[in-house]
Amino acid sequence: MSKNIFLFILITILCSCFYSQKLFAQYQLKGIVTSAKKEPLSNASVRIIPIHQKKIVSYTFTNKNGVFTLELNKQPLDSLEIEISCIGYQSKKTHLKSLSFDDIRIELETTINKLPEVRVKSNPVIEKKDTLSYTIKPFTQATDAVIGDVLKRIPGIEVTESGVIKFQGRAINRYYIEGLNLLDDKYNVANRNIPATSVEKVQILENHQPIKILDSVSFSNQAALNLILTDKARGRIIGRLKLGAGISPLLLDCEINPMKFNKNTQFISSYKYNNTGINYSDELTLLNSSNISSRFVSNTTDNPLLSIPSANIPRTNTQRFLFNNSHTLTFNQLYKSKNDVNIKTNFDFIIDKQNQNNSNMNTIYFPNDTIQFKESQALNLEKILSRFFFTVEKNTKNYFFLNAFKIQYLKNRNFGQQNTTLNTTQSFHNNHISFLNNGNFINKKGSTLIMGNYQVSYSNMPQSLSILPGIYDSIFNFGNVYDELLQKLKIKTFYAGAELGLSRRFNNISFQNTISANFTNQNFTSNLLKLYSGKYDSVSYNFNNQIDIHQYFITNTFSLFYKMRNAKVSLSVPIAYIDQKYQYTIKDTSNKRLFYNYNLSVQIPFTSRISTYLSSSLSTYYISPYFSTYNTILSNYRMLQNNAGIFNTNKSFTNSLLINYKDALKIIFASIGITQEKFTQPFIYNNLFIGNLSIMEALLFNNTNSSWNVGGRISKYFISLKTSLVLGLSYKRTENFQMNKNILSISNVNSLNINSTISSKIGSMIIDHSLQYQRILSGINQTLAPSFLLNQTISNSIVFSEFSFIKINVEQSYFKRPGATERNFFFIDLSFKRKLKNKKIDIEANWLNILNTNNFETLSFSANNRIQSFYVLRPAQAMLKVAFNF
Amino acid sequence: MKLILSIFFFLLFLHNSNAQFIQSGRAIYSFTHIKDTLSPANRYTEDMALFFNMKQSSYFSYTKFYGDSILQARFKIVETGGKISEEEFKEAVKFKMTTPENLYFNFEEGKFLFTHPWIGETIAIENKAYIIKWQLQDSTKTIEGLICFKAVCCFKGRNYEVWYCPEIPTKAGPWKLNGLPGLIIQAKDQSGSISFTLKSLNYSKEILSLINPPTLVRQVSQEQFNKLKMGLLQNPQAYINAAVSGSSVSNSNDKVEVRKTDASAPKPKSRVNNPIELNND
Repeated sequence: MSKNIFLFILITILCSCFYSQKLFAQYQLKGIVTSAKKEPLSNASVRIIPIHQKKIVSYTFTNKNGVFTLELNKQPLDSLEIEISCIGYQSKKTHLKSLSFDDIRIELETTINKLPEVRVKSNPVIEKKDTLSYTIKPFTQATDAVIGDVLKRIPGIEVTESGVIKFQGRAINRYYIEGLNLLDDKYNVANRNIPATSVEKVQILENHQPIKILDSVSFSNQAALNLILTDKARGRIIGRLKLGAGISPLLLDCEINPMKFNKNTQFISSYKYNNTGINYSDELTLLNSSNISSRFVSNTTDNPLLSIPSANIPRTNTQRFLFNNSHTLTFNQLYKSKNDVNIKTNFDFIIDKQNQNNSNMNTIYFPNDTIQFKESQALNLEKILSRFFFTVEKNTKNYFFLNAFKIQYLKNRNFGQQNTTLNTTQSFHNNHISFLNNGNFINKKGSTLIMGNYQVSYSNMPQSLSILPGIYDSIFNFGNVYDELLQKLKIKTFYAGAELGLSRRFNNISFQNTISANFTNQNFTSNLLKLYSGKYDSVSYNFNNQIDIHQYFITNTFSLFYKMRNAKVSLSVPIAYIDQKYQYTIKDTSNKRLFYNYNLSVQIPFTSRISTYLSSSLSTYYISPYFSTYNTILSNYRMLQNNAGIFNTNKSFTNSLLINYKDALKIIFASIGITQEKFTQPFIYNNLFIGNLSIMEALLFNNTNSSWNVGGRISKYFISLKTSLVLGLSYKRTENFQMNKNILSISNVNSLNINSTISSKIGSMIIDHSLQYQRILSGINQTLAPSFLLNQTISNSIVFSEFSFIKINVEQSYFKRPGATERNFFFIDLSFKRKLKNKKIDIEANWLNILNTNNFETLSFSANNRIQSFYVLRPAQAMLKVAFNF
Repeated sequence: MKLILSIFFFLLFLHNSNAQFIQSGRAIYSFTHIKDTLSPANRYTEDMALFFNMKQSSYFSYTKFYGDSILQARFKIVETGGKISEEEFKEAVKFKMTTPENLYFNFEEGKFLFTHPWIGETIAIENKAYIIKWQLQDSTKTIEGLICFKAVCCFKGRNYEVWYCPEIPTKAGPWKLNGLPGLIIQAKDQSGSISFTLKSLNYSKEILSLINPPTLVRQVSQEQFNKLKMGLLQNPQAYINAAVSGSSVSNSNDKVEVRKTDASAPKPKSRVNNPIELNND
């Protein structure tokens, strides 16, 4: 019995197990979803839903063949539905119970019923709060003093050594502070003086067209930069005070730069003094050359014709050789009126005194002999520059007007002791005053734009060179010893010009036509005087010049720009007519000529990795008319120059081809290029030597000099080594005609350049190595002798913390010229920067020229002339600088 | 008569072709991200677009796309001699930080790739598509008139809570969140640092070309791409030097250097302390 009961229970349990398995078992559903045309539908959603409930129990999607499988756990079957849906088809819902689990076949009908839409409530455009701006905090290092230090580090921005700011390789066209253009091209003043802590944001305005009326007409590919200041910096005087002192001798480096920025008025000023070899005056350099006014021939640039010979500026850190004592002062103010008129005044003042002790060994090759002489000089150079700009500008959507008035005074006083076979004391004076008024206006009338530019300028440039005692008695004073030789000259120039332009686009082609006309009146006089027995006398009639020049110049420039896919072609053809009238003391001459130039450039990207750039240009230009003097001028103590009244037309013809390659994945970038240039002048100087005195007489001659340049560069970044390597190779060949003592010859300078840069990072140390190697063959009529030059620099920076770092710099300069032993120079510099934690005080210490290298030599080549220059250097110097931000 | 008939049939045919069913959809999301937890008020926002059909989806910055297309349209107007207003111009050329990557999912082939700009080129990085383990929950809610269901998941180190709409039967969703039986309408992570909210949704009767990944790009593996990216971050100075010097246009052998003076300065600290992906799971 008990046996039976046991068996019964067992059977019951087993049965109930089986039953329950049937009730809550795990089911596998399998099926296929097709369209009405029996096409399988993939990725249709298959959902299991409890009837009358908003809930999804399980889901899956159909595969490529429209097949789905779905497992269901312990679900009461009768309460479930299966729903299939697919975009473009009507959804279908069925009871699960009615289906056979392993062969569910569902057909969906197409539908044009709309799916639920959602309308945009707010405009999906860009909120303004984070447009185009970089918050500078992430890029700021504690050791950064001024905004320029930070800018260098912002992605896409590059600051060149001279201070030009580039965004993605192109120079910016405006530097705004709080939206106002206070400094124009002098933006270095802001960049090197505004404390980094006072700036909140840097905005990059891409494709910025600074003239608002042109916004809709011409697109600019340049960017502008705008500084947004912190609230604390607005409306109060801010700035920096820096005090630095060192040895030896007593060295000082000080600056103070108060500034204030309000909504409608701004000013920035700066005073700097140093005698440590830093050239602060480059802060006042005008950086943009893209301004409208620069398209005019400017006759106000400084152009001294007389000089005291001196060694070229060596290519090394200026702090090694510059013995200076310089003050720079700048004051800039802007006022913006209610009707959008900006009134600006900018004032600069520089007093710069320099001492130079250097000498040159000149070697001049002739077909039959070689002249070699050495001259050494102790020079005191003094420069005073004062400059005042007054600008009125109205820049609105419908109207643009700008008028700028500039006045500049430049005074140079140079004194030199020149020791050669002749020992002389020389002095050079230059007083250059210039006025310039330029302006432009653009007005909209209906759909046409009327654009115009104008410029009026006047400049007076008297110069004199005095040589004591009198030299070359036989040439200048009939063999009698005399006291002084004095060359005086004066150039007065008046210039007026205007320009009108029109432009139009048709689909891929755009045309532009510009007409400009200008008038120049130039007055040139020169006298060579001698002081003999207590009175000044003209040396001879042949050394006096007096020219009065009237020149009319009309140019029509037609430009065409064509763009198709990625290829670009641009062509511009200026046709010019020049009419020159020269009144010399003895006769009048005139020159009328119609000529054309062209400039063609083609850019073709073949693939995303290879692009080519081809350009060809012909340019004919007349250099300032006063070069066409009839009689002789003493340009320096060893050179007499006579231009024989030849009209100085220069013609240059250039062709170049460049191929760029990049593989961004392998991080290899390469470029190769070839350039050919021909330069033609209508004359050649016949160089006659009397002792060291070279007498240059211009002779009519079709003087064509040519040069070839082939070069390539490859760079690669090695990921595993955290190192980049740049390798460049170039070869340049130049050929020049020379005429010495009536004999024509050809001088050659062929140079092979190899340079490399390695930049690597090891731990917290950054190591940079750069090397330049040059092999130069120079000589005359293919008799060439080789020289070798090598420069290399290793710099090693160690970053201790956010607040301090140390940098060591080692530099080597080496050269070897024919017939001389090799020359080798070494320098080591050390610098340290630290910011105190309250962030108001910066400390900087440096020790330059630790090895106390006290002289330096360089080698340079030009045509048939090789110059070896010798310099006396600044001794080792140690400086400590403290700057306070207020 | 023949002519009239043929015109009639032609019109009928036209009408038929117009009666095509919906092929693809376009959703715009507002994406927000607190990149720096130290300044939670500074919330990064960007409009993102999701283009989808049954088989694939693409996800990219709508802000960038919109900006670029405005710019192109405006350029066209100006090039053909037309004029645009100052505001229109400003809007077109405004510079905006946007998400550089575009994500492409092919559900049918189980493929996922994203494109990334790389020094003037665009490269495609191929990845394995992953399957997010969604847990469906019972809550429902109506968002913008759409009946939505809740699901949660743990993805890339964050717990997400999303609302999806089965009425719109697509696997697609914003960013890398997808695989639910309906379009994701809203998603946010538990910490509140990241959110995606649907702003607009509409459909097209054509297969939108933007759904397809660009064809003329070079493909690399995720590993290769990580290597490239790391390389850049390790010594950006050197990297940029390599790029700038090699592609220099100048024919002379003047040394081209980028920010050499600053090589000494320490690398700026990144202010993103709260990335979207906390881990790789």
